[in-house]
Amino acid sequence: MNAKILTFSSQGDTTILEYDPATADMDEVNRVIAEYEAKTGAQPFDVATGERIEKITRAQNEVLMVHPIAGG
Amino acid sequence: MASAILSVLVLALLIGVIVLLRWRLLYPGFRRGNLGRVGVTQGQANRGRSFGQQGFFRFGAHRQNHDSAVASRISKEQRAEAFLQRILALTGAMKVDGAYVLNVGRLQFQLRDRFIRRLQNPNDPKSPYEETCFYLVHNGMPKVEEIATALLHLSNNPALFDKWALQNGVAFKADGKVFDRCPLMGLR
Repeated sequence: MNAKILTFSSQGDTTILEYDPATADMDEVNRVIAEYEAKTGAQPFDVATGERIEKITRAQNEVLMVHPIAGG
Repeated sequence: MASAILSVLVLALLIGVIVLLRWRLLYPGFRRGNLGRVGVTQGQANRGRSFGQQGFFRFGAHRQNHDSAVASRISKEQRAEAFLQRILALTGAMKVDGAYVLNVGRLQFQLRDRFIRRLQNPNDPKSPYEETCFYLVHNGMPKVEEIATALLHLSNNPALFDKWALQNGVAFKADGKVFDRCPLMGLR
């Protein structure tokens, strides 16, 4: 089963990236996600636990990139 | 005679267009790029925003098309609501009287559309409370996904509430760090 990295957007929930966790280069996945975070401020959360994660591993099947929030 | 030939040609052209449209709707997967370099497969066609990735990968892909025919009949609001239900289950939050109630330790957060109240002692109706507004720096997402985002932020880092309340207009990432590339910065 493929792993997915999702985010919320104006289109609703949106798949950013999908990969086979058994074969994917996780360093490359994390590099791509780091670029996404640098551009949008979104950080990865494990959808299975609801917890923020520092690094995506093969154990995560569904990751949600959560966007920044401002007060005001 | 000439008009008959023309009619046949127009009919053939119409049939061709219909076949092409059906093929594009039913088999969008054929349009995926080759992402074999890291074993990554792209989502659906990139009709969304591109963040300028090089070559093999672009952000902004839409929801995977595994069951696109079914998914297309489900609105983004319905998907957003379903996702919110998952986040409610994950965080233990509940919807009460129109507000989403999240308990973190002894604190209770009550979230409504772009508005959060924090109660120090939810069991005491006269307990002091603080309030703040909040907004997503990338706007336009369904309201319930904004709520889901705030629930995830607060359940992991309840101290974010103080940052939102004290620093109006400053965007904070989930880890509490300032996001200084906020596209809405300066607009409020």
